[in-house]
Amino acid sequence: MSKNPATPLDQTARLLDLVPFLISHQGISLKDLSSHFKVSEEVLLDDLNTLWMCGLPGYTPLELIDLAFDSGYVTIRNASTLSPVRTMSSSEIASLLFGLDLLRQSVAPSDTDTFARIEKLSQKLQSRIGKVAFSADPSDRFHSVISKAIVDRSSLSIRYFSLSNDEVSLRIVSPFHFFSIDGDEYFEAFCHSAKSIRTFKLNRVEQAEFVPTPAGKQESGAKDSSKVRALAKVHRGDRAAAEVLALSYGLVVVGATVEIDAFSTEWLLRAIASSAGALSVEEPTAIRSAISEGISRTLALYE
Amino acid sequence: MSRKSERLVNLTIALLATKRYLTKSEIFRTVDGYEGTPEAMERMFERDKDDLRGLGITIELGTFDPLFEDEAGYRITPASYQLDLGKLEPQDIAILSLAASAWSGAALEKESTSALVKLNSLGIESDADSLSILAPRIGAVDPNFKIVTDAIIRRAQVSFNYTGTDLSITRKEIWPYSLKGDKGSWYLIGEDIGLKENRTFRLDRIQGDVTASKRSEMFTLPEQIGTFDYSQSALATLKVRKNRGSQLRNLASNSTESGEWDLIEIPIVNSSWLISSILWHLDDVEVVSPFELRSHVIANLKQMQALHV
Repeated sequence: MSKNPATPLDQTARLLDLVPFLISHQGISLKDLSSHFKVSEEVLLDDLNTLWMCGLPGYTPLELIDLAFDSGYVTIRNASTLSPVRTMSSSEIASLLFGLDLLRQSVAPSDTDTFARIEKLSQKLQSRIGKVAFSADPSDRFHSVISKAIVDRSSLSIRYFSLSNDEVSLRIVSPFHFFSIDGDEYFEAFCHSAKSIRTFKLNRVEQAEFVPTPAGKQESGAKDSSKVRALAKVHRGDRAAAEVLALSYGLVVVGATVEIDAFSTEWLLRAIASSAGALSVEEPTAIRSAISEGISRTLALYE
Repeated sequence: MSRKSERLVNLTIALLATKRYLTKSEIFRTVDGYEGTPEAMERMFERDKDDLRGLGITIELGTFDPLFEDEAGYRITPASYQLDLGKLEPQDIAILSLAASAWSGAALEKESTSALVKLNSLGIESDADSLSILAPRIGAVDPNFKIVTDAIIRRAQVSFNYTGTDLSITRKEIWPYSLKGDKGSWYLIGEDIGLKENRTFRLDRIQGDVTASKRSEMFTLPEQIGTFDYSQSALATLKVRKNRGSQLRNLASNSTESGEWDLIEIPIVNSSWLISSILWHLDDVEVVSPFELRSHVIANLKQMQALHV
């Protein structure tokens, strides 16, 4: 994600930050250094060679920063002018504030000491950049819980909202895989309640807690991968319909035919109904008539 | 190797080390990297000052003896250069490190990486063992995240192309107030300058890049942001089958039992969303009132029936 590390300004910022870091980490390996700064060793070597030419006016060996890194381990001397840690930019502070807000949501209510520290640190940072209203996404905290469950091969009790079944269910799951489609994150897990492998959407998890893994085999049960594919016709540009069906906005043009992948017929039926006429299913006919029946059943309520 | 970054570092060192103000001619004479005609050096220096300011380094202009008309000079005071977060304990460093590492692979990774480097340079041991929190992870990857964050801090106006409910694109001019995440999406709340109203925008509905004004402090943050007075909106009464429609029930201000059904009341905040949501539930939900909503839903159903004959 990090931008081209070679722009002179990025390099300048890094050089200024390298000095205090090296002073507090004398003898660090180039490899560790590159992982702290998230740049390649090649870029770092260029940085160190540049820094080596810097110093106080005069630029004799007495004034220049003295670096040794031939051995693959870096030591620094004669750099006291740049030894103070540089003040943080407002974007750096913002990154910490978002992180702290997510931590605040994740910390156990009983851990009052940590909670108080998070509060105090947020206030301290806010005072540097003025009042800002940043809040992290509460559903992000489940990502950590599920990741840990995957790594530890442990199980979770989750409260999950299923849009297609229109119900909130409590399930015991053993997650094993994370993936994302078009920016939406999902995980696969063995669902002990359904006794088969299921796919869950991360942002529909409403609660997650570690529980002991129930006894019984896990690998049994076919994977719930009965995907439904349909062709639909667009009758009206509709943002909500595009988003529900995970179609890019550009595809939803009046008169166009779009391909829709769904996890279940039930879900597809409801999604098409919720488009309020923006889309109609052309194929397969079985789904087309299922929609027709669902609509007629609903209309019957009003007669 | 970049001559420019070398010159900028040398300039920073010279201005930080000096106890008095350095005049421009002293800088050109002594700081390595300034060469060429006086005009070229002049231009170079002006750019360098801007660049350092962009890195958050404040260059002070002044003179020590106001009684003499000596030439003004430049310096960087150590106090303005140095990170000062007050007293930090090992647990604080551990918490801040966790907060920074949440951005791995996400929109503010670069910023959080340098923030973490700075925290780790303070020479304070991190006490991660004392914490019992899982490492958090922020999923924001929107390319406009950083520029929006920055504009909120600077109180700078932003503009962007926004996808409307009918998929039409409108240019928006906004005073950005706040940014919040919810269920995997990020929402910018701000004042729509054209409409003179607070509005909410989902970042992934923005087409292309957000541009932010170079000017800062263009507005003041209101006391209350984007609060909507639900008590002012009209109510819809819906019949919802027992144990169904939890999404709609969550919004209900009132609910009464009626045999196999429950009657619930919902404030009509966004009618097109409400209609979609009602239709989603098919024959598990029936609109009782208001009449307009009921006829709207019936018309939609009839239209869909015609489309699926």
